[in-house]
Amino acid sequence: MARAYARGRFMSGLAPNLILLVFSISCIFPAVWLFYSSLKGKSEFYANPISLPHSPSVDQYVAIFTKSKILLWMWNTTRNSVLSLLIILVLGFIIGYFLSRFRFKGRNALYNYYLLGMLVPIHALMVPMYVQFTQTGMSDKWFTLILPYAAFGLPIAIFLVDSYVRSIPIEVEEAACIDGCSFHRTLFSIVLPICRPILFTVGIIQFFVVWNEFTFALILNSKDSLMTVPVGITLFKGQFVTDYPKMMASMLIAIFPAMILYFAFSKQIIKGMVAGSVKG
Amino acid sequence: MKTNKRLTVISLLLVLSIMLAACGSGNNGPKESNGSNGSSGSGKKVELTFSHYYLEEERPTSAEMDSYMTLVEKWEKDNPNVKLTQSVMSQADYSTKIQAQAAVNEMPDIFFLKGSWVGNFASNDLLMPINDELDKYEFKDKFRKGAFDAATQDGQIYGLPNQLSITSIVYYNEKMWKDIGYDSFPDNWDDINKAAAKFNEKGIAAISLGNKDKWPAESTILSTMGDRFTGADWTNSIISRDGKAKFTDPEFVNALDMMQKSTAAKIFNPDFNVISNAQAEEYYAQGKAAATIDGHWAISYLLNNASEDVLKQTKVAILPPVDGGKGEANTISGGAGWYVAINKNLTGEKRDAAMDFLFKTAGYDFSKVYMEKYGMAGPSLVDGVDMTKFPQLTQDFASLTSKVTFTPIYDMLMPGGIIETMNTGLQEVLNGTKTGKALAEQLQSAQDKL
Amino acid sequence: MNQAMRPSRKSFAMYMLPGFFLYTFIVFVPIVLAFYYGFFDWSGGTKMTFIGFDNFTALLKDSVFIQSFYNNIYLTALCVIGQVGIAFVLALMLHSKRVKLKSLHRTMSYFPSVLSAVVIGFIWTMLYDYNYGLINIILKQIGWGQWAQPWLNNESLSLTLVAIPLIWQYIGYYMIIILSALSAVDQQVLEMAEIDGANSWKKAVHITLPLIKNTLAVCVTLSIAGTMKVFDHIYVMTGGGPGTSSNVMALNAYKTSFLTYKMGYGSAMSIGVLILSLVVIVGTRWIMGSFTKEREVR
Repeated sequence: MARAYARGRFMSGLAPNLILLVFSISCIFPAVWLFYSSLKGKSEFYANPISLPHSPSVDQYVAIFTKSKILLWMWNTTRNSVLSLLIILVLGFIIGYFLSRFRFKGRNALYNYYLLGMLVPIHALMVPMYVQFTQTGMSDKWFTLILPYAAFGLPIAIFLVDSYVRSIPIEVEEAACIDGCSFHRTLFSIVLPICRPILFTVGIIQFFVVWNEFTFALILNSKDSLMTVPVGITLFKGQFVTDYPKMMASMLIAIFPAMILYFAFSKQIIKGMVAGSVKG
Repeated sequence: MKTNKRLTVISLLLVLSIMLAACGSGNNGPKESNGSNGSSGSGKKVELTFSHYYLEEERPTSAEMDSYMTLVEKWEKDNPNVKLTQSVMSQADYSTKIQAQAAVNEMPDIFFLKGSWVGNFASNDLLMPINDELDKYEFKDKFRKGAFDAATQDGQIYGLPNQLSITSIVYYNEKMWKDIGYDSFPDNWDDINKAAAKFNEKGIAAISLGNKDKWPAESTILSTMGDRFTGADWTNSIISRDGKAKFTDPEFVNALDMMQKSTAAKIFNPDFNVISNAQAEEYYAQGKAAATIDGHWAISYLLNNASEDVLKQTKVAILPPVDGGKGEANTISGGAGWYVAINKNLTGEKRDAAMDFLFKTAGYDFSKVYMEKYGMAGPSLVDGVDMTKFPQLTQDFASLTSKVTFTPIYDMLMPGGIIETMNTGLQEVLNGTKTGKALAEQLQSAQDKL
Repeated sequence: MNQAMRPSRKSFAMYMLPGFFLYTFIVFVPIVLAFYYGFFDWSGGTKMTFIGFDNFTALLKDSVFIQSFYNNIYLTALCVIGQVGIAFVLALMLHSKRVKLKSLHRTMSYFPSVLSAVVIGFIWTMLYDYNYGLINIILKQIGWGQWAQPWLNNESLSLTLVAIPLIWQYIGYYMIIILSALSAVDQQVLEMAEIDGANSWKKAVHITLPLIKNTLAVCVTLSIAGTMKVFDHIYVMTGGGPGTSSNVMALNAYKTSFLTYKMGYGSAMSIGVLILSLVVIVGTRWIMGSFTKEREVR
């Protein structure tokens, strides 16, 4: 009896640890595998796809950096990410806050209108979007991609900000009001700082979405000089090429800046996610 | 402490992004400024956009691309008054993008045109006919018979072919087949099935196939297999939609059933539906398959990638005939399937420049470079080239293809809707989860709706 | 809310309008355009023929589209159960005192969410690979070689197999959300249940679950919204195949427009996708009940 109990205790302690450990490793291993495999030669990779490289070589990376405009692509991608994120955060914060705090005619309709955006299958809507962008002369511009990235990022931002603001006691603003704070000041110097965690969350989620986005970048832009990383790296994957290590190197380069950012800020990111997550 | 670390990372990232920005604009600077200088400086520089799918990455392993791009580069040098802006994507992405551009009548000035798009694009008035220029072209007679078939709609010709697709060649490893008792690739399907069993015992596939992207089984096998059963008249009738031939005709159903039976006899690698065409070539090149059925593009691939052993043993053959087939035995699906075309809206000197580009890059010159540099046959006939300087495989390929008749390649000539249905259904037919008859009925009902 | 705290009508509009215009122009206008194109026989060019509701009625009879809808439903069911369910269980474990390395687990498990679908698809295609894939290698090692197969070519399994990476990728995402809800639950309630002898499973179902049901409902909604429009993962891994076995609505609409050049019909289909996704979401939320009350503004 006592032994069974002890074993139960042991199991209940060990099992969760073990399961979580296995899961965590499964989450990180693919990136590790991608990295060390990209250092292999093609035949070495085919001989054993899982083994570590015998004589690691960075040739693939050298080739990509010297032969392509990867730096230009990264610059474009960074610019698109930063600017669209800025728009998402500002507009998402404002709209989310307004929808959460104010009762007005059509409020629920407006809320649902924004949420509709989360359901839009963008790949299926590429034709009308392309028509719209070309007819209004908005394709192939430096801001072309920022618009859809910002607009399609709004719904989740509004959704998260709205529910977060609802968890903030209204007394916060009331106190500010009594102190004679104007509405604008209350909004930006009192409510905004309180919302920082959820905005951080939104920013994180959207940054990676925008960084990896492919379809808009392919269809709406034709200019070489505005090409983004996800589209650029497809140039390394010709139809008749099966050089996996090379493909892996290009994939890794594509996700590398995002990865660095993630691990450098992982603590804050997760903290922000936890603090900012939906409270129901 | 913590703040310090964070600050370091932030400042590092900042420095990095500034460097990126600097490099980025530095990298891109010359090309960009060139363009604006050019147009403002000389004032009269003609600007042309050119969209295609020849990725620089593929150039070393694609004779076709290298030959064509050599001519493009030469043309650019010869025409300094024209600024040619190229937009290059992978073939799949290119096919998507061009459809979007067609939707809004915003085609590039010059672009690659697939035979199966011609009907649709022409009826939407997107393509410039080139009949007049072609009639004046001094090498007009050098083009192969049928080279313009896929680019012709109501008598108008809409592009110059810049490749000759031969999609259904059997590449086989002679030694491997000798080892199991065949002097060459079998001339009947029974023997192939029997051989497959022997190869499978050794853990290798008789024929490698990579049908993940859905076109290879149809383009490289069914196009020829179908012809063996139906004959070319049937195919031409289907393409012209005169109603005489139907997909439900027993001959075509038999072809599908044959594909199913052969797959059930395990002549292909087990993962034929989940690997790409390139991976199937890789299987053969590594000696994991005794043969592969593939297009002309595999020549470049094998010459560059196959081990010396495999390459030395590689011979070419055509698909065997079938019992009771209506088609001739000595045919291969082949023909011009891709063209270079011009936007209908071009006028004046832009039009002239584009037209000149067309004939200088995709005309006879292309076939000449392609033949002289690589020993490969293009859409024009080029005589008097000494073949002996080329690799044995190239020579064998040339002598094989010079003796056969070309029959239509399905996906180059049939409309996209039919091909999509065929390709998708063929995956299931090969898996044994759909009967040939069911697919044929599906195809016919799609054909009826056109 | 106190009227004094309300901005004037003018500034109210100034705040709301930029976002409204951006969103309407980029997201809503294309939907309207797609709806409009849905009334035409249009193969992508200057020629458009008005055909009324033909495209929409054809959609209702299109067996390939209907199958893709069922596939979406199946995929959604798997993903909701997999993503939210597993995330719930893992979050409970991670919340327990006995678990070590908490912050490491959190960091690691969220990581896949930041990767692109192309990378995820590539990695899992390699795992399922017939010759080089980890799964077959392991099966052969432990003597179950007869089970080794070209996994993604199994038509009855392909949909489930593409669901696994989708689930795996987003477990961390939902786990973090659920964790934040758990940390808001009063610890003493959970501890008391333990002393009373309730085992972990009962505890989870009877005590924890009801306490965070609103968060779970949000997770379920997000998961459904994500899965109903799924495209990239499937495009990369199987392209909808073999045959149509892993075809989904968004992929089908894309193919209709870009591979078969029926842009009018493809547009009608994209509207169909939107409506069906809406129906599924609204239906689920209605079933989940508690939601409606939450949505109202104080």
